[in-house]
Amino acid sequence: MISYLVMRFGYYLSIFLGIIVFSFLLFHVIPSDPARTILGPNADQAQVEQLREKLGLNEPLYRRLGYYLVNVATLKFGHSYVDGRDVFIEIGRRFKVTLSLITVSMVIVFGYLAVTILTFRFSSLQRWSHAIDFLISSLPVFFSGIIGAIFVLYFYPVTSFSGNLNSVNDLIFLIPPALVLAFYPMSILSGILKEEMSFVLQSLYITAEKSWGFSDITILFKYALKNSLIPILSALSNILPMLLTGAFIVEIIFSVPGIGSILVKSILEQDFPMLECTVIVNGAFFVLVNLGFEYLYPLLDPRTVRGNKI
Amino acid sequence: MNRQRGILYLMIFMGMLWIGGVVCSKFAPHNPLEILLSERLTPPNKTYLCGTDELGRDIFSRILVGFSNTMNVSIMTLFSSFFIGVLIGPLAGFFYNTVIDRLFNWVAAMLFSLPFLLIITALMSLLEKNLFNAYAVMTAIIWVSPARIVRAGVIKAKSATFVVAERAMGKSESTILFRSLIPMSIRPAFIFSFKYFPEIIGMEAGLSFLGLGVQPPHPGLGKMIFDSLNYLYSGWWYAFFPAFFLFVIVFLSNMVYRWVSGRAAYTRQEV
Repeated sequence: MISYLVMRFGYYLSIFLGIIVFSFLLFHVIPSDPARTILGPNADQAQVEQLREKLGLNEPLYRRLGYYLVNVATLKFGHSYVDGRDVFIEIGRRFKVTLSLITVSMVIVFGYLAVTILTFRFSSLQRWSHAIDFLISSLPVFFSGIIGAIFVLYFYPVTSFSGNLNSVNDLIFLIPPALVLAFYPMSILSGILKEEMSFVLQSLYITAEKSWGFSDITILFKYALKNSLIPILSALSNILPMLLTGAFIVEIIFSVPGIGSILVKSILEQDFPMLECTVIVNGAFFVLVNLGFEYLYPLLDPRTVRGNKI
Repeated sequence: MNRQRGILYLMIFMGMLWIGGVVCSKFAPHNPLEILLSERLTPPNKTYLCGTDELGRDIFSRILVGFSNTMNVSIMTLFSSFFIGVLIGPLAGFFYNTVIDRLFNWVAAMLFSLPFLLIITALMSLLEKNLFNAYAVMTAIIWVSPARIVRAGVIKAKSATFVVAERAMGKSESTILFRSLIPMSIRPAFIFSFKYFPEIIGMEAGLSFLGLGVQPPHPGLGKMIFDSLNYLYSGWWYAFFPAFFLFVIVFLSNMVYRWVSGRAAYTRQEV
């Protein structure tokens, strides 16, 4: 058990290191001269040389990588090229908004999954559920987002977002973008859930429970659900990066001040420290969540540890 | 459905999308780049089927040309990434559980651990922004998906009885790999990769949305949606029609995939 946890931890740590090296290569090695980028084409050569020295660009590559790792470990991502703000603080603030958006949409997704489970009780609803799943799996986030945004503009009571998530209004504001964001995971997870559940429900132990007189709801939500949970969770961990991608676009459409809007701004302004920090924070988030899931599997299903697959 | 025919239908579908894009962009009713400030933000009518944008350009013509661009990039990306996947995936599968396979899995896990759009955006921000670079960067990232599928196919086929028989007959390992295993896993992998087609379309639109694909004044579906966000209240049609067009393409592709593969998006795996 312990060795399983340690091995998984090491694996994800190596992936996170890979992400850091990737961003190092991307933003510090490939651009021919970051100092020139910062100072612009009009700066004279002496200034560029001075900044190169200050940034440590004349050092050998492995040294620079070492400094870089230390900087990341101490959360020093530098300052924005454009307005000099501390990049990490800014990204952290933005990321909080994105995370709350994702949390609200996860609540919606789980609500939808609960309804999906209920369709097993009322089998006439199954066909509808399949049709709805197919329809929303084909909704690109652009289309549903635009429809949602037009709807919000004309009919929704709350159209402004204060950005600090203290008031109820902010939460109410987040519901339509969260719903739009939830569509894709809703359809995928509900498809998996239905497939798994209909398999599990044919097991002998379900028949036994039925004959003991357990109610349908107890069997569905307590006994059948537990055995169909692992595929759902692993699909969820795969969907998560996609959810973040969707979140970027949804945020821009609904003008939520999260990671997405800063991403567009930093692309337009060539603000590399911002982009770099976004990449690393996103990677860290994903690695942490996946690690959490890995530690959750053995709790839900002890068989995962015993198998030789990890 | 028989796989051979399934692949044929997929090819026909993509060919239709591609030719449709080319033909439509040639027969656009107006010049998509022509600015007519007197006609700015006109609602849909008989002359302007989908209305006009903030510079008075015909949205319908712009959608047609943007659609053609999107199709060129997406179809090219699908094929090239599939080609790279077919080259790399079988190697990982054949050397299953060795260093090569582990390395492949590690790279795949790393690429999958960041949002694709973020990696592509980060790469694109360093390159010159044009359609070809968008295509190259997307291909450089997306090949992981088909490679994974082909790898799984090869691993599955590796333990089949006929492979054991071929080995017993003294065929060399490379013959088995290139003559039996790869040809065997290509077809299902192709059908399965088509599942990513809507995603590639969405990603292309996302790149163009972030201003990294087609450069103005040339129209791209994502760029049009981005530009229209400021006019959502005063001109809903500006945002609606490009987005609706994207929806139609994605919906059709999903329908075709479903029909060809004959299964839902997910089928239960026996563990």
